[in-house]
Formats: sequence, structure tokens, C-alpha cells
Amino acid sequence: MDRACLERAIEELHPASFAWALGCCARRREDAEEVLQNVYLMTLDGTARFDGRSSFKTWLFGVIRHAALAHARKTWVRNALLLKWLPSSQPQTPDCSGDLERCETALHVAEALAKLTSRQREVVELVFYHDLTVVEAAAVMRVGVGSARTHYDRGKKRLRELLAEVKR
Amino acid sequence: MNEDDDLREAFARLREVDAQQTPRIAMPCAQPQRRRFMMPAIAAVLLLMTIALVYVSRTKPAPVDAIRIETWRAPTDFLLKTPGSDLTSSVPRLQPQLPDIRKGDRS
Repeated sequence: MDRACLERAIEELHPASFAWALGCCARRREDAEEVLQNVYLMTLDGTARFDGRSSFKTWLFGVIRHAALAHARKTWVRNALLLKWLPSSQPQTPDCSGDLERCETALHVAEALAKLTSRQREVVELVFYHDLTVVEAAAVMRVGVGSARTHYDRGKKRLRELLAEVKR
Repeated sequence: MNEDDDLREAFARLREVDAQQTPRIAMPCAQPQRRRFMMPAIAAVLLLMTIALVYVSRTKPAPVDAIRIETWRAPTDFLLKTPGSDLTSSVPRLQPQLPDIRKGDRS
């Protein structure tokens, strides 16, 4: 894949990539932007190379997930080194300036997702938000399909419970 | 109707709301070039610094303190010089030609 082709593919996937980065960074907008910028840089300079074994979207999502984990580790070390007073980004809440009911639902989903385990959140988000199959989600998460399916079922069940609690 | 349609709908709403807040894409252009030349430059600087350090450590002058101790004189040093001390610091030499008494030399 040449640079122009990569740039086009990245541009097309940018909204989905940002949403996935946001999910991987506990909805912290600044962290998500930083992670995404690093991923684009790694992709374009060849540090992260697409080998064509999966779809570009699956591969890119895997790289974003990996970069987000590395970023989280870095943040943890920074906090451990007593640098907590440095400004850190806050979780992004959906902008409720438009349709209130729609925003309320979005807010509830975001809150419920935050209460799932990381594996459950990842697989549920990949399937329902990004329209991937469980097999593709497993490839992004680098786990077996069976394991992904288990997390998917449990995550879905827990999410329904959490959303039902909110409606009551 | 699919059993997961409720979840799909809920996520669709989250997606719509998130889409309004997605930042514009900013393609990184110049940075790859900078990064490519960064490592050799850092390595060259480190190498030069090592060479300079080795050179400086080899041509190091004698410590200043050692020189000072060597040339130092106590301020009360003169008190040790007593009158006639030069007689005790050297061996007296006898005259090589003593007058011969047996021959009656009276000069």
C-alpha cells in the first residue's frame, strides 16, 4: 500500500477510528486524539505495516487498541512518579445540545459501557458500534474467537441489565 | 426482528452523537523525515562527547593541591635556624696539609 492509498484509507475510517480510540481511552478526548495521531504517524512512516492478512479496518483498530494500551501504561507511570498535578484529560460526555432524548440514550450507553470489564466493553463496542463480526473483533483484540464470544455474551447481558436499571 | 435490535439502536444514537464531536483529521507529514535523521544525529553527538571526554581525561594536568603542598613553607620556619646551626648540618673538613712537627717545621 503506497502513502496516498494509506492516507485515503485512513481518512475514510477517521470517524470510526476516533470513536474506537475514544472507547479505548475511557472516553478521554485528548488521550484519544494523541493516540490516533501516533497511530497515523506509525502507519504512514511504516513503523506499523499493514500486511493484508485482515481487512484494513480490523488491522487499524488493532493498532489503535495497542497504542491506547501503551498510552495508558505511560499515563500510569506518569501518575506513579507523582506528576498527578499535571493536567490530565477528562472523559468526554456526549454533547447534548441537539435532540435531548437521543443524547440521553447516548449518555446512558456510554456510562453503561464504562461499567463493563475491558474485554466485554471492547467486544460489545466493536460489534454494536463498529459493526464488526465477533471473529473480526477477536482479531482486533488478539484473543481467540471462543474467548471473544464468551465476553460478547456476558457483556451484552450485563449491558442490558445496566440499561434496564437506568430506565427504571 | 432481531433480539439485539435494541442494543443496535442505542449504539446508533451514541454513534450519531459522537460523530458530531469528531475532530478533523490532521495527517502527519513532516515528522517521519525528522525522526529518520534523529537517531544517527543523537548517536554522532554521543560519540563526539565520548571522544572529547577520553581526550580531556588523558591530558589532565597535575593536581593543583599537590603543587601547593610541595612548595609550601611554614611561616615559623626561620625559628628553626639557630646560630651555628650550619656547623651541625655539615661535616667539618680537616685541613689536608698539617704542619710536620717531626721535621722541625716552624713556619
